[in-house]
Amino acid sequence: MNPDAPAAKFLSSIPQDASFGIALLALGTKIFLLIGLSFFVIFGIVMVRQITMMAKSVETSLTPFLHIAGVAYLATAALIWVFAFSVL
Amino acid sequence: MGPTVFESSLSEKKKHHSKTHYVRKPDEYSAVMRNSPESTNPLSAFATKPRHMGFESQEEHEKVLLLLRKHPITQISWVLLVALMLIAPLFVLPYVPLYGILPAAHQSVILLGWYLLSFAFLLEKALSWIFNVYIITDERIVDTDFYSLIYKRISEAKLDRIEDVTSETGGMLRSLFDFGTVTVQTAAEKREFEFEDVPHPGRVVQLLNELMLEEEQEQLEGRAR
Repeated sequence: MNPDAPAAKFLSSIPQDASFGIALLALGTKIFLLIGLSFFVIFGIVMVRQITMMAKSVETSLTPFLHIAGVAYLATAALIWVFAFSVL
Repeated sequence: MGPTVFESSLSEKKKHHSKTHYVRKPDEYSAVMRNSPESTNPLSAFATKPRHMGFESQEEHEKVLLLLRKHPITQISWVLLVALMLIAPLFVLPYVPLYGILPAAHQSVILLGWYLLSFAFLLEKALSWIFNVYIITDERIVDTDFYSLIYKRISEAKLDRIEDVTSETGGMLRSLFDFGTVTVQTAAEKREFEFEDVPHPGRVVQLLNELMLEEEQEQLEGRAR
């Protein structure tokens, strides 16, 4: 094969050692984790909305605590998403 | 002196004692209510005369007499599962093959994600138990159902539409902890209400019977609202 051909140049640019495989795995894991964590953020938003709707249907003295729990969950999910995006 | 044809002061007095406007308090006609104190526990599965409690379609003078949820013992399975999920990472993660070769940052994010999942499960189950309630007021019965949090169904029937009340307690656990299912047949749009796995089903049936009797009495005496 002509060493100056584009295909040869591409093939020679691929690292041959195992660290490439691990880097690919890490990238794939990062994307997978960020997508997964996004679902938790969406779940948190739905949860906050549902707590409001449920509290409207059945009012109890627990309602403020449940609102706090829902918002805390959403905030935690969002923070973990940001943390994952920055460190991965 | 002729007979009294019209005496306005007497008519005024009669109006105050008119049976049409007199509504008896639940303690007057219900032994279950008389023998039960006001409940202040917001997590109670059998809350008589619950304080600080209301529901969406509650009318101004309508009183909630009994709030029911499924007996707490029926929730033990998911409570144990959540406990297991919270401690699982300590025992399982070291043995997962791919986990060990990932960088530390990836490992922490996976761990945080696992705990997010555990708390999501916990919140979903807790909310489902807290808000899936059966309510008995002095006017009607209400069944509030939230299916998987996003689907809501509220059914209600007036007490005078109730035709039949049955309670069912079967099995060792139900007998031991005194919980069971109360089935209410009605002439309303929803023909059957099922109060599943509620505590003290016998007392629930007794209360419903007392309320039905009082409704009949109100109809006969012309006191019905």
